[in-house]
Amino acid sequence: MSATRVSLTDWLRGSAVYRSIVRHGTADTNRNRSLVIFENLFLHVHPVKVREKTLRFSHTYWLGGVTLVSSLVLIATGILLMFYYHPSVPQAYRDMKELNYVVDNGLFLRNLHRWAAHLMVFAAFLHMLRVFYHRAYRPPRQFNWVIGVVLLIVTLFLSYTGYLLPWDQLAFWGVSVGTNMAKEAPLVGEKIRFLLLGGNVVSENALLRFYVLHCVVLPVAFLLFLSVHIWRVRKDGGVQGPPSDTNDPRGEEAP
Amino acid sequence: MSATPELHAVESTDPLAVPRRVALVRPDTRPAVRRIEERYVMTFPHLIVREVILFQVVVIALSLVAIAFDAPLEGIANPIETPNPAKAPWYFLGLQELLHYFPPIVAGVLLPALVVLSLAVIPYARINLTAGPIEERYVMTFPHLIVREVILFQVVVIALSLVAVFFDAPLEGIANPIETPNPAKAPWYFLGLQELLHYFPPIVAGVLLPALVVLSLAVIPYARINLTAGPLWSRGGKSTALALAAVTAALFILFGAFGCWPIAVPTLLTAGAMFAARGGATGGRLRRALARVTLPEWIMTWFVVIATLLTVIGTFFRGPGWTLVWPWSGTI
Repeated sequence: MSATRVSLTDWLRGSAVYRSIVRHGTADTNRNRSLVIFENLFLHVHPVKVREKTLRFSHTYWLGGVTLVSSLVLIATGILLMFYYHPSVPQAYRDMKELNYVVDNGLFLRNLHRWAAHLMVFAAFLHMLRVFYHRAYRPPRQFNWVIGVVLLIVTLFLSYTGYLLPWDQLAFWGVSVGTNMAKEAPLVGEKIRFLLLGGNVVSENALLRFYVLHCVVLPVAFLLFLSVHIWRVRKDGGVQGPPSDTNDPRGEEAP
Repeated sequence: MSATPELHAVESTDPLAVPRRVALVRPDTRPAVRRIEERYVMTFPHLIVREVILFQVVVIALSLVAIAFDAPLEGIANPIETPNPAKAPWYFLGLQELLHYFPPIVAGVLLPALVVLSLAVIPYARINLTAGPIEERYVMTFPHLIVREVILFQVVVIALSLVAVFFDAPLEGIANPIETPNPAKAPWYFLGLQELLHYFPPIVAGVLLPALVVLSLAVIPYARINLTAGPLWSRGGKSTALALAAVTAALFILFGAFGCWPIAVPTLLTAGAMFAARGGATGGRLRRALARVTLPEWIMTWFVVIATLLTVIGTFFRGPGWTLVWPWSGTI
């Protein structure tokens, strides 16, 4: 039985179709292991080899990774939620009730989205602290730190625009309080608030604008900055761990 | 124009191999090394300039078309009144035409599926690969890093799923602009700011301080002190001690004047810890650790303590009218 299965796997791996998709053989040689990385669009952000110590937990605490995973969970659950959600008053609130009581696993879906959002804000903040205390913002990584600050702000705005969408009391007043703060900026404060809300108070217009910001504008901005962020980690010589580690040469690139 | 000295392009000897299959390996691992000398131009400017021109031509042409021709718009959608003929968009009209000749299952499913399948299998040919060398201080990204990434992904997703199973996201009554809850709170990550509003005029708490924080964060890697600073007390420290005492006193008086104790008190405590670090190099473990902390790190720690404290107060200790309450009083 088991022998049949193995040969079936081998046959599959050897087939023309499989080899056209995955061009390398079994990853039992370093050559094939290299090919796993640089033949794959997504994996080739990695170098073929990494410094062994970067794999230690205390090197990064995997905090950027946790932030990234929560953002992936948010994209997946967010797209599913969009299937059920209408950005209009009072339908938005009714959709929440539908999700909670009618839609299969709707409550779970919403819960997952909400808690992943909290995790993302929290993990991004901890990631920033980790980078600071490890002095990983030092040259050549200065600009990537700045991109990180931008990403943190985009993350906060993503979370904040999503906060209004359920259109319950919590959402309405939470956003009212926040946008009243924007009003205090000199000269442009009132205008920014008007632009953000599509009016002078939190209304149906604000709901639509926050929806578009939350589902299109901010995610696109986030993904753009995220791409640059990850790209530059690679270009700047890989993840930087604790300061005792700074004697490393820049090159993370393996042959 | 020669290739990088340590890398040579090696072409596969398999006549059926995909032509792109050119592997980069160490020169001495393969006998049949042939340099590719010609037929290359620099991507910049040759390709990039063409790309920019292409982009501009397309955008300008499209704009001209958009000026000259209006997009069609007929009457409002009406489920009762069917136009005759009712046509699909142009790129589906071939299919619609087929429907005229064949039964729907053939024209709508079988034929399109056949077309898609035929397109997909066009390029299949035989493909080959061989094996290569090894290393020392580095480990292979696959499997060492990739396996960890997969595990990380699974742990986070499973943990989040468990939380989502056991804890429901809050949902209150429908939004009501007339009925203001007391207290009306922003999301938790803004409650530190909202707490500041209690002490400072809105322009300070809502604009000045947040802008200052973002700006300070952004310039960190460009400020010389962050790049060069050693432990705070590394140079004797008489002037350091004086400056620290003066700044601490000034900050304490400033924030105290506004009644902002959640900032004033941690400021004093941080300064206390900084002084405790003085001469700690010869002390116990904790003091030795403190003695290694640099000035930028002290400042960041001060900021984190304050931000955390303000957020916790705003989240758990503020009730109606933004008065101080206990978290368990049920009035938050």
